[in-house]
Amino acid sequence: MSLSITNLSLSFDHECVLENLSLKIQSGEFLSLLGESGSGKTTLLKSIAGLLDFQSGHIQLNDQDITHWEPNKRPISYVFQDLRLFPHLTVYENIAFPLKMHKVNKTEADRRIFQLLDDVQMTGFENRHISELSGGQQQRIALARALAIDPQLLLLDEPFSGLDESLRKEMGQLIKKLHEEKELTIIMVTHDKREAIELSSRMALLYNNGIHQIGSAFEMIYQPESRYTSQFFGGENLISGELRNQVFYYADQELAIGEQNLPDGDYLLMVRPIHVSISDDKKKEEVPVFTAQIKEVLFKTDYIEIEADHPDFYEPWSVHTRNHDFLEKEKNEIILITFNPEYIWLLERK
Amino acid sequence: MKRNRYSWINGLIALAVILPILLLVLWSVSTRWPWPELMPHSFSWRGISDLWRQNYEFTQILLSSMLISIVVAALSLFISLATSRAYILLQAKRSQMVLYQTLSLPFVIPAVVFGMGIHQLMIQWGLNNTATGVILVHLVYSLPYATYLILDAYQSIGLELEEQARLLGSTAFQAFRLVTFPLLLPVMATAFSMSYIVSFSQYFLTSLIGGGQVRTFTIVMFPYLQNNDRPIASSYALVFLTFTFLVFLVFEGISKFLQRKYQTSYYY
Repeated sequence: MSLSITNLSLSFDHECVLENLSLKIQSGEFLSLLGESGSGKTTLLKSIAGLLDFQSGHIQLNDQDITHWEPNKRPISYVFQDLRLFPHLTVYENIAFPLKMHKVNKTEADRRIFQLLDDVQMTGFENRHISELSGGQQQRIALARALAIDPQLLLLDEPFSGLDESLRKEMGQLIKKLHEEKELTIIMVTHDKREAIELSSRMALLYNNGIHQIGSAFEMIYQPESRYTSQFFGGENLISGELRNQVFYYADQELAIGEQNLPDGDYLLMVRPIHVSISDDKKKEEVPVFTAQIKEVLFKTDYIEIEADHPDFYEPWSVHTRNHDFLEKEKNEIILITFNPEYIWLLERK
Repeated sequence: MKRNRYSWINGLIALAVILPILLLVLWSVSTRWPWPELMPHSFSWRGISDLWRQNYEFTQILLSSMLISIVVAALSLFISLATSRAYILLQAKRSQMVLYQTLSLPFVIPAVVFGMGIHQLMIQWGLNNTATGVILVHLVYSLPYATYLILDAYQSIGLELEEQARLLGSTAFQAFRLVTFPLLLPVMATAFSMSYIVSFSQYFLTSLIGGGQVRTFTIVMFPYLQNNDRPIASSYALVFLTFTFLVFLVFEGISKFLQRKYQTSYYY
């Protein structure tokens, strides 16, 4: 199953939400849609499902144009944020609903329903009513119902919102397992970057009425195409400088830039906190060294975050360390900071 | 078993309902009951026997009144469902407000004022002195009750579940029939009952538009009230209550029967 969206444009009350958006998804892919509230993630999902009419563009599923197909004709399942389980029906009847609509015979329907209940670890719950289930259980049933008709594409709209940390992890693992076992093609809207990184093979960041950047988690985090993407994933350590003939000149140092082929100009060098270390943790071949002043020391469960500043830094840098001795460090103390030049990335200054 | 300490309120409410009915029963079998006596001076079956004497005509009038009110209630229900759905589908708040305020017009405009105007129209349309004309004017006054009830419930349910049903393969009608309609059944029974009672109780509009040709229960009952013939009026009132209650029971039963396969959902 491949999905292709071409030049999709959609407005609400004369306000443009999506403009000339194009996207291609391969069979079996798990794509996460990320972005700020109002960036159009759910709008895009609803457009794919046929719930919203758009002003222009096309949607193709396996090279078949489904742009004008009714929602009930599309081989697409959608799990909404609020689940939308039918409160007057039992668990069995909820899962049976799409099978009934697709005229699946009772024997086959029963087989699928009980198989799905087993897949989502809800065997024995078939006669329960929805109001008798917990939030996590309802999530599982919503998922089972969505999978009942073997959809070609599964759309998930913030499927874990409202769940606590452990349940989110559990549900995430379940979705990942189902994705792998059934080779599902999934598009998931989420605000949780960690979930997107852990579950999906690619991420698409929506911004300014379109897809700002699309790529793997590594590309999005370590090779952002813009400052917006870099800032979106947080934890950017920046230093400004000038690029001349693929050599970046900053502070009183220089660094050869290998991977990016950029024109000469002013840039920001970006390195993530994980690739920045304090001199006590010094590794081989780490080149630049800065004498920085501690601004803040924060305990973050499984690591310590130190914010440190230097006149050449664009903003205070964030350093992560697992050495708990640094909890004793105080504000304004001096530390030596280095970074791994293999993981730097240049961003345009705008 | 722990007693509910507010059960006396329930008792008080029950008394407020039962006492007037008891009074009606007493009046229906009395001949003289001067005030401030606590009990009637004398008893008689006149009130009841008068009804019994006319039982064929009385039964016809009762059944035709019930039929008119059932038709009004059914039409109210259908129009209310459509109106509620339209209200929810309306995107613009202003349009919703206009619709909502329009529904309240029968509460605002006195029946006498409305009656005078509509009477002329009914004459022009040839609907005066007909059951159809009576049904139409009853509908005007029954609709707001039914619509406000169903509208509130429909707003609570929303269209999200239907949207989900569409995505699961249903047509638009199937989504309404299998998802929204079962959830609305309880409020529909209430809306039906309200519309029925509003219609069944109508006197002025029935008298004006029916022109005496359409004889409903209230039309026949009113002269006894006017002439202060309390025994007969009380007997009529008891019949009114009994059959109204029976209609409620029947439609409540139909609603419960239709809901039998479903879990009661406290959606609103």
